[in-house]
Amino acid sequence: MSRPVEQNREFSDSTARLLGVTVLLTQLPLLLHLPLWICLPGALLVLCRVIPALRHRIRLPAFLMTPLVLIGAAAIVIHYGEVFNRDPCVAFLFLLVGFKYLESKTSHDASLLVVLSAFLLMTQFFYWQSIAAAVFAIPALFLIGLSLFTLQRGALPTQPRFMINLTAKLLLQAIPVATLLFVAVPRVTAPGIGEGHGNAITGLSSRMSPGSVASLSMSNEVAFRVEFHDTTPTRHDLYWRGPVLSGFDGHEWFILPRARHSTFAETTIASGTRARPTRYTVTMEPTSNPWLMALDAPSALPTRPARNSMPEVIASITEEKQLDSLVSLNRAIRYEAGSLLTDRFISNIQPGAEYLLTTRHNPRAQRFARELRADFSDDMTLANQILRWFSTEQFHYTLSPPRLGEDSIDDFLFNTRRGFCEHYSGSFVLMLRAAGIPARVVTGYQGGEVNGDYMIVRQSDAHAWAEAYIDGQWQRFDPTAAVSPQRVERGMSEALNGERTELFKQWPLLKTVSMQWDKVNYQWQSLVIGFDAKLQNKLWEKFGLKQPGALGLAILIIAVVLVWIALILAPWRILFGTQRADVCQRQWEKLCQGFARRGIARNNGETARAYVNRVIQNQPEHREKLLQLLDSYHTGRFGTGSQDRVIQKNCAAQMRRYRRQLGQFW
Amino acid sequence: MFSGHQRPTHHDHISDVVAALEHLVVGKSVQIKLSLATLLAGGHLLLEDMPGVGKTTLARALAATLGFNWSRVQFTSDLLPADITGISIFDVSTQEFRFHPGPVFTSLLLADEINRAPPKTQSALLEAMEESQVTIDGHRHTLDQPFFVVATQNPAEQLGVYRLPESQLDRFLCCIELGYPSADAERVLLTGGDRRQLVERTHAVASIDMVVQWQQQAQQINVAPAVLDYAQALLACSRQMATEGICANGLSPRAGLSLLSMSRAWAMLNSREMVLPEDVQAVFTSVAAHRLAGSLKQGAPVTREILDSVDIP
Repeated sequence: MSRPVEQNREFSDSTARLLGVTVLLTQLPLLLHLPLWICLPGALLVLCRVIPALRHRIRLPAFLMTPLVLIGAAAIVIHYGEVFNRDPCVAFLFLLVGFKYLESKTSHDASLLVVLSAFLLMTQFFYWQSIAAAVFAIPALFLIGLSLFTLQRGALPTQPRFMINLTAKLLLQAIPVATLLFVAVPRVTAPGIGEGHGNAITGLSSRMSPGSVASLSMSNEVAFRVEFHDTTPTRHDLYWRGPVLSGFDGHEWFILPRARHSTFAETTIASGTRARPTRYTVTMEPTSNPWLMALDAPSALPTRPARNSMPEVIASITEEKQLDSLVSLNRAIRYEAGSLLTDRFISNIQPGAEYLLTTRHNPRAQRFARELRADFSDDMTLANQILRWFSTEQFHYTLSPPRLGEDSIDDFLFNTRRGFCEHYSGSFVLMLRAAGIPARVVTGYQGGEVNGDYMIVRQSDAHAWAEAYIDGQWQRFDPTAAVSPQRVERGMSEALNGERTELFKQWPLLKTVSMQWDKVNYQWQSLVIGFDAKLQNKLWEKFGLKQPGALGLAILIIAVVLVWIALILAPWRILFGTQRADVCQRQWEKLCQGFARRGIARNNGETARAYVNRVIQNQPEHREKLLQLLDSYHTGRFGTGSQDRVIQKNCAAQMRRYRRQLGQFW
Repeated sequence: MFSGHQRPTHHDHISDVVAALEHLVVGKSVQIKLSLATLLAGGHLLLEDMPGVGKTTLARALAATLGFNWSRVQFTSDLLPADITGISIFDVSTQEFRFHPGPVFTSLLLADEINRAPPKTQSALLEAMEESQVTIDGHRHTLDQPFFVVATQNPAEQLGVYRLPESQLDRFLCCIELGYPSADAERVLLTGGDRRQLVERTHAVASIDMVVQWQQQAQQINVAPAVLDYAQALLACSRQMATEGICANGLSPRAGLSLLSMSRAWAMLNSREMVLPEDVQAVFTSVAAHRLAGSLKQGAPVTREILDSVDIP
């Protein structure tokens, strides 16, 4: 018997089923990310062999295999329109695993299949990197291990229970090695395959029309999380600056394309203006938008740590102080930024005519503004007068404003008077422009929720406010705050006054749980997903070491792994100086502890029989069980077969059963 | 060979022996079992007691129930080694020396009041016990198996005794005392007939072959590592106590071997195929006391203390 023949023997039906379940489990997470027309056949290929009823009915002839694979490949290329990219590759692998499973017969095939499955399982992290994804991978990982070890056993017996124990043991033993590799191996910040559409959320938009922010406000999704390096600013200062909308077409506000980008953020403020510098770290959820968020007004460009420990600038800033990201935001990103907390800053560039554009729409609002202009010549007084007008007239802050007519601002200001922040900021800017004051709409987020040592900013915190150019400074005005001061003081849900039936208000506990879960998620994001070169460096420094070179690292890893293997293989006696407590003895000690809690402790040097007799005196009703338990204990610990693991385990199991009957459950 | 859960077949016969002995020696079941265990372990027994409590009766009862031939030597201060081992006498008719075997050529030798004889005589017996042979005039004479010595010893406080040195005490596997009988047992003794006649009328319930077989079986009794750990811990504790001056000597490795073979025999008497810590505890005092302090009386409190301070692993 030559060895290759031995290795290449056909595997059994039960192994085939195990492999099938393994493949299905690795396919499962991808069902969420791949189109249905790939998922269905991919999974069906496996199912038709796993389900016993179908196994002998459906057979794919071997000569059809190659054409079918080619057709699948062609369909994928047509569907995605490209070949060497993440999605088509994953999709093709998905199908391929299915075909491979269907044609696998020998253990050699099966080994290859398991490796393919392992690779397929990994691809789900291209799409999804949350805790849920990791948890989801565990059963599949376990089955991959189980299949692999079952195949390795060859002709040796493979009782399920034994194999499961073995797999669990081996996987647990692998955890320290995996942790070491995760921590020590240098981060590769390779772009490319990992960047895709992901679960990016839309968030803010480059265009704003009445109702657009309000719809965002319904979403409880997290936009980003912030850690302040020093004290957390007050709510009044928490204006997270996003896209600046200076363009206006009569209906919608939009971003004007800007030619001038700067990689140098400088915020100058007039002397005497109250401003506090602050630094913070933002962890942004994946988004399809190109903007990074910074507190108003940004004074230092967002940076992230790079491999050479020099911070890498990841955004440029426009003259409107809008941060445009230089990197893809499809995945969660973590950056550090700095701001000056102020509501006005000096701009040396005289704003152009585009900041005064009003269009021919909304004539009534424009006329109203010009009338006010006649009464108030000072720009500042005029702006404040409009704000006062908002607060004295019957304006309402609401998430569900009525539909507006063609001249939406006119309709809002003089008829409906019910609106959300985009209504107020938009109409405010229009009136300022009509009065001859350059102004623009700024969108972003306002506020945030403190959760322990960090702050959560959600989509529901989305906000729009106004900026006006007065006395050489861009000055922030928040007309929404004039109408509903609570919006800024206490947050949106408070300001809406029960307009939304808040789940969390009815069940405060749910809120606590959700906040704790967010905390866990944040830790995951920042410590596991966000474990980058900087954190890695810090870790080395903690041990008082410099980051070692490739050779040093390889030697270190090999050494640690060897030590670990030696520790696993070393007999218990050498490691701990004592004989490993055998299973029966452990059961016996638990029994003694149980009765000791009930006041019958075993004395030093008291034999098992003497002790059991004493317990029986105390609890005669347990006599039979105790005597049987004693028998099992003696057989398992001292008997002729007490060196046999199987007999030991059997006796321990019997003892545990008797202990349960005695009311000892652990 | 027996294994698994199969009941050992020897047990019924052994229990017959125990029952017969209990009939003859009233109220001393522990001592009876210890004596039997000593025999099964292939050792020799030392009875330490005052005269008249039934030492001789026990020895004779053992011989009678087991079907052993036996002889008795009363040790006195003028006893010579040849009185035990035998002597070569010139036979005039054949013109050569003929060996006259002494009382040692028997299965059960009752050595009464062994500590009344001078050391030279004592050591002649002890050599026979250790080597299972005697050498006379350059000729080696092997003793029959089994060879079981039951020696009695008067308490050392009495007059005219030569204390057995520690090295020789060590040759006795087991040392027990019979002590006064309990009130009930004493009443039976007083009202019943002459014990000696009772013994003489007793039929043997076992044979030499059976005893040899039992001795072999006793060696097969399983001693688990946990029990070995326990025995070692006991030995270590005794040595610790010896250094602290609580007792005269610690236990030697030979004492450890004796403890194990005694424990095996005890387990067998309790019809078990494995030695439990309780077996070790049951025989510990009788194996260790005389070795620790030179006499059972002085050693017994020490063994109690050792058993209480060493926990069962």
